[in-house]
Amino acid sequence: MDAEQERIERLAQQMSVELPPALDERIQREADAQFETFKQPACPSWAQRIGRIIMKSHIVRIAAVFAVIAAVAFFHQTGDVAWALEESIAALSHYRAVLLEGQESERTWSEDGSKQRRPSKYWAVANADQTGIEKFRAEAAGALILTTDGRKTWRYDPDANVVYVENRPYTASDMWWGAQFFEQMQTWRDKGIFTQWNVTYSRDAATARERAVLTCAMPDGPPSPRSLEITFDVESKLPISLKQWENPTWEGPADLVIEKITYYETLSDDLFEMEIPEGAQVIEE
Amino acid sequence: MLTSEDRRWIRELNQGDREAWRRIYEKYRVRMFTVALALTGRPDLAEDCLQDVFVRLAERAGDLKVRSSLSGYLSAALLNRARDVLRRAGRQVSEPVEDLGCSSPAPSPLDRLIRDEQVTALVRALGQLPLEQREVFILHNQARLAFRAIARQQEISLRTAHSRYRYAIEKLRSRLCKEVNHGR
Repeated sequence: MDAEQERIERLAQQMSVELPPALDERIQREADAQFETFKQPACPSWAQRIGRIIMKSHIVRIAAVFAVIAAVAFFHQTGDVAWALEESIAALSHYRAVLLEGQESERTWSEDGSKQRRPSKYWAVANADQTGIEKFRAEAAGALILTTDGRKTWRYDPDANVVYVENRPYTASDMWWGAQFFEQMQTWRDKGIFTQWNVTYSRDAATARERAVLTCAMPDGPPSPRSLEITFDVESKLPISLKQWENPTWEGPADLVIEKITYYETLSDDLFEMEIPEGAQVIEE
Repeated sequence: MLTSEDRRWIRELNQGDREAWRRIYEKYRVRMFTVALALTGRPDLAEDCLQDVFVRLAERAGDLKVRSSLSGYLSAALLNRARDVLRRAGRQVSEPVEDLGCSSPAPSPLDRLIRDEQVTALVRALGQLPLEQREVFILHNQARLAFRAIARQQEISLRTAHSRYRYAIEKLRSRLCKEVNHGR
């Protein structure tokens, strides 16, 4: 422990505030009222005494011991939580790049009115202090649709076979999809922006690895109501999948499904430059 | 561990002795009120918590069972109550609490002023911690609970309790350093 930690702890231990006199009086008055109706607990009934005698029987006592062990084991499992969000935040800080693979609902609707999902992949590299995304690449249905190398941005319209080029970076997000994202989630949870925060545990059927599943809702956004389900690998502490609904109640199919998340220390710069498709028109903006 | 004094008072309380309740109240009320205020961030919510915990203590007279320590028992009750009132108030604590002062006597008015500023800065920084980290920090330093007791109370592993405390210290250290720099 260093001097600064000791100073902080000493300050905390010295914090003190006197009760307002009105509160003091109120508490004592209400407690006194409880004692007016106090009744001494009755002597154990005959049934309770006989129960205690039976418990002294050797066989029953052994069974009781096993019941206690089972109860302790149960509480040990449910009480000994193996994952905490802080551990994921710490684990994520080691990685500056990530690949998200999954499916996203298309903005256009099909003829029957239902949204269509298309497979999507997103690569992202954090900036130097991991507070934002510097390089970003997005593919939809197997086609590269946007990429930025931190200086220039290319957007591709596969239907028109046109590439738009801008001499400025694209801001995929105002925060890094790593430790900072989950720190922000914690802050928003504490401010009541995230609600229904719940963690459950399960075991992956294929790998037998333990998972922690966090669900939470954002009834008022920002920017719009949504609900989330994020799965963490308990051993590595890393998030491994994510689902997002554009409603606050997890209703219907998820609008964004990230089925696989891969972490890297870095990614090659080549990944974030666009190779102009054959015959594509290039428009500088 | 139950002190012999607390054990005697619990025994007497269970016999309906209201003086035993009063002694317990006198001993723990300031510390528990400070804990409640640091947890909830609002004097009105802290008052609700404290009133509820000590009135329920009186209600339990005759049937009170305390296994670990009275401080731990009261802190656990306070923590649960604080979470309830915060949920009902529809928020978690994110605003700093300005009511807390320093209880240690200072040699001079100037020293007292310096110490109060430091405590105020600490309180402000505490209010910005995630709730779980704030709870562990306050329960360890204000309610004087060991990490094992905190882990049991919060239903987390001992390792997680230590982890949360470490993160709390790091964030407090960083925020208090910024406060000093901004004050220059």
